[in-house]
Amino acid sequence: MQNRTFIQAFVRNKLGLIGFIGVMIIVALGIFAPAIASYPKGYGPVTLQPPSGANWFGTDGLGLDVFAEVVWGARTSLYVSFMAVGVAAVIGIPSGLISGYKKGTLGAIIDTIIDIFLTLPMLPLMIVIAAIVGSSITNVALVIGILAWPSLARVTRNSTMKISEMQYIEAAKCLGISSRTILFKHILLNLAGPVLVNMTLVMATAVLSESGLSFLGLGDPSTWSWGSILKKAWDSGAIIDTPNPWWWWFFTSAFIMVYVICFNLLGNGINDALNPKTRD
Amino acid sequence: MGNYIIRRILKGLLTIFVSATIAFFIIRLMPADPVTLLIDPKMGPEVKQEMMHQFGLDKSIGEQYVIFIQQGLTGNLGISFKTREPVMDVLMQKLPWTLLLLSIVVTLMLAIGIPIGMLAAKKRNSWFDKFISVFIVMGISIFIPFLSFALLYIFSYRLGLLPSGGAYTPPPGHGIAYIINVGKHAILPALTLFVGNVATIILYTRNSMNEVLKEDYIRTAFSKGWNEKYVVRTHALKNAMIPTITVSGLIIGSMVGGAVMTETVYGWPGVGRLIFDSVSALDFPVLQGAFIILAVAVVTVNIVTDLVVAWLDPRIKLGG
Amino acid sequence: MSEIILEVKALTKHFDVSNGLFRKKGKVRAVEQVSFDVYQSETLGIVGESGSGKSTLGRLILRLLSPTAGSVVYKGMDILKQSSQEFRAIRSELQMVFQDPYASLNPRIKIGDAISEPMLANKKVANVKEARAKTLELLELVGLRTEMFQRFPHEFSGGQRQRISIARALALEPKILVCDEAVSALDVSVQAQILNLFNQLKRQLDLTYIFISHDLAVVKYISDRILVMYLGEVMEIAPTEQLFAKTYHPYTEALISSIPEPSTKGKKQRIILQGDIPSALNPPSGCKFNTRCFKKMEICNTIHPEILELEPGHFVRCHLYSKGGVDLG
Repeated sequence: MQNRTFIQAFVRNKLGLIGFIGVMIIVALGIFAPAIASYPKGYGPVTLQPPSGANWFGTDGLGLDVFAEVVWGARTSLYVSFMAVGVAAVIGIPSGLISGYKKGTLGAIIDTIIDIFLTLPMLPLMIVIAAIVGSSITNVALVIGILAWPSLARVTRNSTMKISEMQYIEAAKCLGISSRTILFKHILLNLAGPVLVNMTLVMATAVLSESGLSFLGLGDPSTWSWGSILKKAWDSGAIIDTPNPWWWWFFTSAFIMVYVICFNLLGNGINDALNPKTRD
Repeated sequence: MGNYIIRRILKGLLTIFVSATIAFFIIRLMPADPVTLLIDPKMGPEVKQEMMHQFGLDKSIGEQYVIFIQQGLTGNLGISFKTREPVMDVLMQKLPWTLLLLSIVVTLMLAIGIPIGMLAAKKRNSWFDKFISVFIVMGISIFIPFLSFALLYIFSYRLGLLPSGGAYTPPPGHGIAYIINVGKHAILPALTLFVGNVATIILYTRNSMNEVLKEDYIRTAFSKGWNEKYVVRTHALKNAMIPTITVSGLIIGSMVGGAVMTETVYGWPGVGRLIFDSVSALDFPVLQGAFIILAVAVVTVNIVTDLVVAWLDPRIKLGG
Repeated sequence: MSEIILEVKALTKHFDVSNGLFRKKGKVRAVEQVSFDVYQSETLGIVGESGSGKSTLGRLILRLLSPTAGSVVYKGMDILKQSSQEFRAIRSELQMVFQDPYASLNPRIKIGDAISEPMLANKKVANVKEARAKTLELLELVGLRTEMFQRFPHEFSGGQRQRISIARALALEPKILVCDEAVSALDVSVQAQILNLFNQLKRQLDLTYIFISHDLAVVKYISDRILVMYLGEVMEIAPTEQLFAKTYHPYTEALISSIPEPSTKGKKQRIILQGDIPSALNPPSGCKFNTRCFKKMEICNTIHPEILELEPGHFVRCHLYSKGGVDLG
């Protein structure tokens, strides 16, 4: 019933719904990539073809179909961002929960670590790490995830601290419920909202980081990703040289933007639907 | 207050120390030993030994770490694999360019973002506020290479108004000519970084202004019949500024990240472009040093913004 | 009177307040040397303004806060000195109904689960099925329909939520129920219903209540005896009727005079106390009530009055009745 009112509130929020649908479409593109387009490899028949009925997004410098690259790139970008968020959640949620619930030294130490990591310039650090550990998809996902955890931990910690002050937590203690149950049931259930919102936003930044890293040449060279398409376009001077195959970079970039915008809208929508003040 | 400043600076130093430590140990994560990457396989073992010694790689990890930190404290960040110059010298050539770019962006961001955020809060739910909301979502979702490409395509390729890269067209010229030369080159990189980050500033200013305008003391001030401009300027602005300034400190980290991509696309000769070049050259000491120098810059900005916030917010003064 | 079930002895709670690393630390003296007995099957009302330490006192008795000093003796044992292991067995016998019916139920847990969970956690029932059966019984007992089992707290009104909280506390078959402002957040008409429910449950289940409230009218209605607190100290303890018939302490007098009554015969004059309750961080010296007392004497500024038993079962802390003041005998 709680959930039904949430869904009703979410559906009423048009922007959130648009975000959700957009995310779903892109996720579907990624999942069904093999059915939508054949994997672009080798050389195509005609290079730098502008968009046409046969090649919706035109062809690149090797004559490959840019639409197929974008669809297959979606697969990589999605995989990396989901995995990164998973890694961030596995580290961030428990550390936020524990540091928020157990005040004292342990909480203070975790909080300081979160603070330090939130201050560090992330992209340069990711670049340094990715340059060193080598750029397989999994490595890139791990690096993004490991460096994205602090924001999730911070949200979890702050919410945990707020929730553990609630009377129902005191009531649960009084009723002899164990700390573990209080932490992993009573508190975690109430955390779902803020944590979900933050995970959506982390998802958006993860795609930006992934695309950024592969744009800078730190992606997996053996697969297509949105960033690597842009890198190829940029390397071959597609932006300012003549002839100017604008379609090569424009559609790919537009996909990144749309994807990130959709995730941000989805996050805002969930947030508004959860917040009783903005719900109606 | 003094107490707060000391604690804040200590925390900043700790952050820098942690960055240096991370930078040191990341290099040890590397699957191959750095010397192997550096040395021609045809070199004899003695030459290899000599190079190991030169880079301090023949000592134990613990010793290397201590030396690394000691040297770091004296401003010695090692020697570039590529150019054999001290890393610090390389960085010092590049850092001013990055600082120039960032300070242009930050100035514009505060000068334009804050008034727009306040106006959006004042005209709540107007078409202007709605337009700003859309802009904010677009801004925080911006992918820097995309914006760079679009700007280059329009202003450089189509209109031919602005240069497509570098920091100046040689010869650089002197005096005013030099400033104009660099200024023309800085427009697009600065605009690129500005668009993404100003959205965050507008967002925070608008939200905190909305919050503050709802608060009791502001309503009291209004009900006393005070002039609206006066209330907003004296009461609301100061309190609404606090989250905005805090967030400007926090986004410095991501701005620096954005600067790496911006500088790369536009060939702006700053630390960001240096990072990109060092990645392809596998110049790890420079990567390490660049990360540390950026961490120092970010921490410094954070300390400054926190002190400004403390100065604005009397609660922190008392609590500290 | 029946036998003593709970003895509170010199219970004290100071909260440390620090203002930064090098600043002087302060102490909030929330509860100061509080002693009283609770008798089997009675309702002891504890009344005081907000900031009087009454809620802290309730939480100390239930070990939700750890005390600075003092003891709480239940079944011959000082439960405050027990290890958490030992206390587990006792905990379910001492339960609490909280003030805010909107905050004391977890919004994400269905009320059926909220009531079953403590039974299962404390092994009061063998399995989920038994817990469910007992939960349904409890819902009926507190006057709720059993189909409400599957609902979430936000679907209920304040009064209904408070019934749920009561059912949840009763799930552990407590002997003593501490009710902390249990009706304060409710509308007056609903207050009466819940107070009647408390009385009915007490008869049915032979419960003992410690009923904490800032509202003397409510406390008067439900209590057999009343304890008046001010700034963390006991000012007066007496059986309800006697407290109203023969009020000793000026503070109690002021509280009683502030109860609104339908028939104003003109005999009662409202005593309005000056100012607010002082900060427990920096309480006045001498008698803690001296800053607001309308019968203040010289001695009240300097000497802290002891609590005296003026009549059997009627204790008062005031210089008016001590040797230093006027002896009313």
